[in-house]
This record gives sequence, structure tokens and C-alpha cells, in this order.
Amino acid sequence: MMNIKAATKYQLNEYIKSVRIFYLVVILVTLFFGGIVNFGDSSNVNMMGGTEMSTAIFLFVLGLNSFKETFLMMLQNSTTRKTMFVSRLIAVLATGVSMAIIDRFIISFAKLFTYVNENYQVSGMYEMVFQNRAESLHTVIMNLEAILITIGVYIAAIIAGYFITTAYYRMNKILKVAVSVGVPVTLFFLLPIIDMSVYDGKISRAIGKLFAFVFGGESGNPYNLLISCLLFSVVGIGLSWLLIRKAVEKN
Amino acid sequence: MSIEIKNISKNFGSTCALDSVSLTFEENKIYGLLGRNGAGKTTLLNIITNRIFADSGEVLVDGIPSKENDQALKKIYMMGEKNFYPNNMKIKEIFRWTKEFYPSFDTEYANKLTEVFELSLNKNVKSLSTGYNSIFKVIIALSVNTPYVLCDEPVLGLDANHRDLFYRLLIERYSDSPSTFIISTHLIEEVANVIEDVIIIKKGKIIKNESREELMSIGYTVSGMSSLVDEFINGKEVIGIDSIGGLKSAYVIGQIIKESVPQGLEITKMDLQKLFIKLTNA
Repeated sequence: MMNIKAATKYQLNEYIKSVRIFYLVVILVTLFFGGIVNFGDSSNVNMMGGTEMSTAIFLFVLGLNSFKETFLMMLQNSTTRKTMFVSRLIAVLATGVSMAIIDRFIISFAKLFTYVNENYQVSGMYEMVFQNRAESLHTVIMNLEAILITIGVYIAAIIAGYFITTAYYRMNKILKVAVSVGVPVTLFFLLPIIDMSVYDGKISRAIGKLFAFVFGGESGNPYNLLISCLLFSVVGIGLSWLLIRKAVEKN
Repeated sequence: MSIEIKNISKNFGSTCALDSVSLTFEENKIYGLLGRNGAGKTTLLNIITNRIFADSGEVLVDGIPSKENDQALKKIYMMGEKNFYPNNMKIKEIFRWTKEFYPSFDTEYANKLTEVFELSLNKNVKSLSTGYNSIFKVIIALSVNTPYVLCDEPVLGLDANHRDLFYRLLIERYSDSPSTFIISTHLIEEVANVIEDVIIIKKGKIIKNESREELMSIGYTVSGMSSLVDEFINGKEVIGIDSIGGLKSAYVIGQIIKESVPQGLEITKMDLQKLFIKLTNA
């Protein structure tokens, strides 16, 4: 893998450009709303708690947009699929870790506003989902655990986007249409009908249980979420590799 | 040191693009890869560079199988007809990244060539005309300094001045630091004076693979007054005739002793394009 350094640098550079814009917006929004709360005379409670969720959505979209152009650029520069895939994973890992740390820093920074104005409340995704556990831990431990869990979520989000875009690249037009129509129709139309009419709601209850387990179950264990995200990522990485190893130029 | 192609076959559905192609591109030579549209030239170049995969057979670069092998692929640069660079990327950024992937890329020389071709480094790919799209890739191909440079339709969209400039720069570069150049083109007349070896591909099969001199020695061109030429070519295998006013040039297959040529007729080399048309038409 002679090109691994150049390929990783290129793919990281690609991510950094988008991440920079994203954080510029996040910081401006944080400062703007922080400013309104501080200097406005509103007595309403203002809550800021979607930073990690918006980052996860951003990373999913980033994953969705990170195949075709890079793939062709790598082919142009005589890089094997193996090298481009490994370098992509390095870039995904680095981006996931960095953004989890940055987000935690932003949340901690935004929390400073709460000392100035009690009407301003800041909470990270971790504190919202695992409230009891977050309150029982020392702040430093809680922040470290939050970063760890967030890394898992972020990596899963990018991998999900990357897998979808890779799968679409490999599909022909008919298959693309079939999947684009078939998946939503099955999930949001057929499945609920079958579930209610044939299985008496067993499927939705099973899905509900699965989600409850992923999000910690009754004990509220955050490591269920971390392990679920890692498993999801491993499966996504495996499937993406199967798709990429035989991918050819379709420019 | 060579690119060795062994029994490569490739089908697209029911269309056979390459049929058990075997050939060798030797070190430090300029090859002309000639063929009609759809003959399989681009498919062959794409397989060599791993952009697509062959159904069977293998490609060896300096003895190493090139399939998914960075070490082998790093020795090759392909300037494709299609653009694989990101549309929003500026030319200077493309040069910077090419240097990352090909450390031997001569940025200084590339920058010099952008001045010669009057190409702005700050332009992005999508803003370039067809001609300049070829030019920036040609500049990279001439500056990349890899052992094997593959050019698929390098002069696509270039005006006569730029085409002439490209051929001169290619010869200049080749003289300064020889590499193997494989030029796939339709403009046979122009490239005829640049290439050393000719590979003609027809319907996925190699029909000629020899030096230009050898290939052109299978015939000759006879020129002169129409009546004299007509009389001379009578009974000979003629593959083409050009007439202007009372003058005529005929392209004849076969050998000739120059001393036996009647006065008023001139014998010159066979025209590669005429020969190509003859070979690929049947």
C-alpha cells in the first residue's frame, strides 16, 4: 500500500473542508443563541441539546457524498481499491474521534452560559439519553464516556452513509429505482400493515425492544449503544468492502 | 522492464471488447495504439491501469501482476479521455495532489508548461473548454516522470497549434528523460512521425504490432502526372489514390526497386493513415 499516506491525506483533506464549514455554523449558532439568552430579557427557558445529533446527521450526509469523486480521483492516481478503502477507514476514524472531542468541548463551552443565565440550559446527547448514569459519574469520567459513546455513533453514521452511496454506485438504474422505492415502501407501508394484520404488532414490539436495548435498556447502560454502533460499523465496513473491491469506473 | 499483457479478454454483455490480447510494451519507446472507434483501445488502457478488470488474462508491470497492486500501478500514469479529477478542483491543486501520489512529478516543469499553453493555474476543471481539459492532462502526463505514460486521445479538442506544440514537447521530454509513452489516437497522420512502434487493434484483436518502419515498408507511395501513375499502378495492389488537378498519388502494397521507376514519377514512403484504413476496413 504505497499510496496509503497520500490517499489518507487526500481523503482527510476532503473531510476537513466540510467539517470546517459545519463547525463555523455550529459555533456561530451557539454564540448567537448564547448572546440572545444573555442579553435578551426573555424569562423563557432556552435549551441547547442537539449538537451531537446534528453532527451525526452531518456525518451521515458526509458519508453519502464521499465515494464517487474520490474513487475516480484515486483511480486517476493509480491507487488500488484496497489502499483507497483502508485510507477511507483511517479518515473516518480520525474524523469521528476529532468531532466527538470537539463536540464535547463545544458543549462544555456552551455550558458556561448557564452560569450567567439560569434560563439557558445546555445538554449533550449523552446526558439526555443516559441522564441517571451521567448524574452519577464524576464530570471528567462522564465527559470521557460521552466522547467514547459519541465516537461510536459518529463512525456508524459515516459508515451508514458511505455504504449507501457505495451500494448505489454499484447498482444499475433499474436496481437504483427498485431500492429507492422498495425500501421506504416496505419499511413505512408494507411492514406496518403486515405487522398489524398478520403478526398482531409483534414486529413493532420487537423493534421497540431492540431500540430499548441499544439505548441501554432498563439499566441505561451506554455501552449497549457503543457496542451496537461498533457492530453496525463492522457490518457496514465489510459490506462496503465487498462492493468496492470490484467497483469499476462508470464515469 | 515492460508492460506485458497476457491473453486479456473482456466482454461487455454480448459485446467482445478484447479477445485474448497479448502484447508487450517495452521500456523507453513511443507506441501508437491505433484502432477505429470501439476497437478496444480504451478498454485495453483501462485494464492496464486497473480502472476496469479483465474477464481473463493478466497484466504484468516489470514482471509484477498489476491487478490491485500499488507497487506496479505506481509506475503507470494514464491520461484518459474522460475526466477523473474533481470538477471543482483548481489546476494548481491538481498539480499539488499529483505530486503527493507521484513524488517524481515535476511541478516546476508543469507550471512552465501552463505558461506555454496559456493555462491559468487558478482555473477549476469544470470551467475549462474541451481543449484545455486535454491540455491540463497532457501537462501532467508530460511532467509526471513515471516509467509508463498512457495517453488516450491526448489531443482531443486541441487546435492545430496546440497539437503541434504537444508533439514537440513530447519528443523533447522523451529525449531528455525517456519513458514508455503509449498514445491512443485517431489522428494517425499527425502521430505518424512521433511513434516508433505501431499497434493496430481491430474488433478486440491485435492485427499489427511492429515498428513503424517495418509496417510502412510493406508498400510505397507513387506520385506524378495522372496518366503516368495510372499506367504504373496497373496490375498492382493499390490501397488508395489522392488526385489534385493533373497530379496523382497512389498508395501501393508491395516492394519496388527505385531504379526501375519510370521518369516523371516519384517514390516515397507509404502513408500510415492510408495503410491503417486499408487494414481496418475489411
